[in-house]
Amino acid sequence: MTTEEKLKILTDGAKYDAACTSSGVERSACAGGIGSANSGGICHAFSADGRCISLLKILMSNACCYDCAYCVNRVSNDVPRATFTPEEIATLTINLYRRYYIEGLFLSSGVLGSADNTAQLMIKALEILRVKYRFCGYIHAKAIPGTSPQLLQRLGELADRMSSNIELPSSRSLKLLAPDKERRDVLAPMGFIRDKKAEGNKNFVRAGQSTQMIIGATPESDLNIITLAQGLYRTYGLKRVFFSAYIPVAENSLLPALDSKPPLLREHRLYQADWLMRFYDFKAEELLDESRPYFNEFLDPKCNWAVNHPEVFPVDVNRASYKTLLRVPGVGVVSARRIMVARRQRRLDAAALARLGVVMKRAKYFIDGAAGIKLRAADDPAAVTRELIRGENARQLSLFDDMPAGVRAIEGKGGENK
Amino acid sequence: MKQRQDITYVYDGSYEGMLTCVFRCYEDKFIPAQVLVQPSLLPYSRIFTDKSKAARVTRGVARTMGRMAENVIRTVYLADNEQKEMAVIRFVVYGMAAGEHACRDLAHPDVAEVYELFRAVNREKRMCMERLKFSVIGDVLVSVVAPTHNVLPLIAPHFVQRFPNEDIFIYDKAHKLGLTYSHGRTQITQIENFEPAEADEDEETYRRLWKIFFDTVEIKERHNPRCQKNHMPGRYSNFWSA
Repeated sequence: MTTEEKLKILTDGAKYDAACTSSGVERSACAGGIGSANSGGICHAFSADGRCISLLKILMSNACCYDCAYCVNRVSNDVPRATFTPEEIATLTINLYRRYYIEGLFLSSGVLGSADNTAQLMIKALEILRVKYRFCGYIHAKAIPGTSPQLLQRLGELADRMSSNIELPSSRSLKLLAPDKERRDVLAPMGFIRDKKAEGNKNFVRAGQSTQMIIGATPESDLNIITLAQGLYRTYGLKRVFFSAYIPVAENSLLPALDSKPPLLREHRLYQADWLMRFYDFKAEELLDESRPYFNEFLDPKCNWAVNHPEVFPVDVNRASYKTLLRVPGVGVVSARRIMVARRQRRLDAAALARLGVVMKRAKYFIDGAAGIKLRAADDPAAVTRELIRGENARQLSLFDDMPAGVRAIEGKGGENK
Repeated sequence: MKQRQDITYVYDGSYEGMLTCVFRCYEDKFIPAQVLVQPSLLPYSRIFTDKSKAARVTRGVARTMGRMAENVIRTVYLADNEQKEMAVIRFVVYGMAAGEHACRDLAHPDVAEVYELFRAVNREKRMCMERLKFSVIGDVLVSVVAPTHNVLPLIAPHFVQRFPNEDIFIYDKAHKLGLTYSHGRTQITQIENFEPAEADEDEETYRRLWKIFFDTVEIKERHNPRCQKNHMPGRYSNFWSA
């Protein structure tokens, strides 16, 4: 099989992994070596689905012995199979890296015989890169559930980021759709990496770990999902939890029909909520509750929270705390910081806020002293909601191109996530 | 400092020249209506670049307004913008009076104006750092770019850090500047024209492999060319290869 054919098969099998981030490490090329890492991450291109391409995202092999119903690489699926040699992976990575097409390598794999066998091949590929080529670029390696601790340890020394995918938002769904995987096998590598990092070895999984779950294949609510994400951030100190809208890859009575569309808007709302939890100090239970377990289709989670909490507004931007500023729709992490700095020099009016990058179109309903604004969230939340929805509809025409997470190599604004 | 609508400065377009214009404002005790590089038909004062005056401005800015202000001015100088000299003059005049608070007074119109240019140049630097692609031609990493601001000096350290043992040539055809890196030395020089040599077989192979990867990694069910285009504006399409 030619390299071209292999690359096609093994990219095709890897593309459903949402993680393509290359941030979290700052490093120059080592002596006699090639490659550096940029703490903010770098997107080198965007594929025709609008997702960022930062890393060469490929599988070691798609010859998987597991039979997970939601996965394109399951053993019972009739697709061409291929396996890269470690040398092929290293050569391909270096040559694409030299041309500045990529920030590094994202190496995942189907389970080739056993988890340990697969991990050994991956380690071989990464060792060629790190030792022979003295490659100092970014490497993201997948932790295959069931891999033994010694091999995880070695992978973690070679990679900057590791991830093990939780796959589905509940153990019940996982048991139903992935008969070969147990929730605890998925969580074991996560716990191992967390504990090893806690021992203080700075060079072990330097950029931390992430995970991913499929959205819309199984019946969990948005509330279930963000609560789980919050738990994962807290318990395992994850850098990212990725959501991936389910794309039907199999005819199965337990799964959505083959002709169903991926729930992209739902995925988008979950990413917005994830952003709010990581950078805006929101808790999952503030965003949704049992009486309202799904996000508003028409309004982003922050605006939705704001119109439901008129008692918080209007906010006095000249006095409010940083945390309160972050709660104002139209104020982001960057503009909130600028407000904190600039208001010490002078009183901020509406024109000043616009100069600082505040989106006044949304913020004006929620702040004190926006000149000429009669409508206020505190007085008439319903009318403000209507206005905000009108604005949101206009934004959505651009098909989520303001999507903050999941599609960008950058994980946080203003270095919050370094 | 008052602005005089009847005064135009003309200088040589150099960094020291721009700082000499700033110095001149303090000598004249007013701010001109505009600063040009090309002489206009209307009357103007020619400002002759004076390195020692420029150095005095640099020292004054660093001492009174801080290092950050100096960095802002250096970066804004790289902007392709006809208002940049006036923005710098107003920023310095305000900042020399306000002191080191100036850089934090982001809501002041004169500070906001210069910071907007500062961010625009940095955005372009970032865009160039993301979208540039090299061709390996005769074992040299070669790229041709056409950024909207003169960002070569800003991106140079990044590529040198990444590829310390390579020979690099990046040609900015919009500004007719070439960045050369070889054996630990970086240089930016004026170059009128540059056409990269034909790709060899090896280069063609990796371009082909990249194309396969690029096309295959798309999830077809999520096809969204509009979102792609918003992230990859047309003017960067020529960044794809040398």
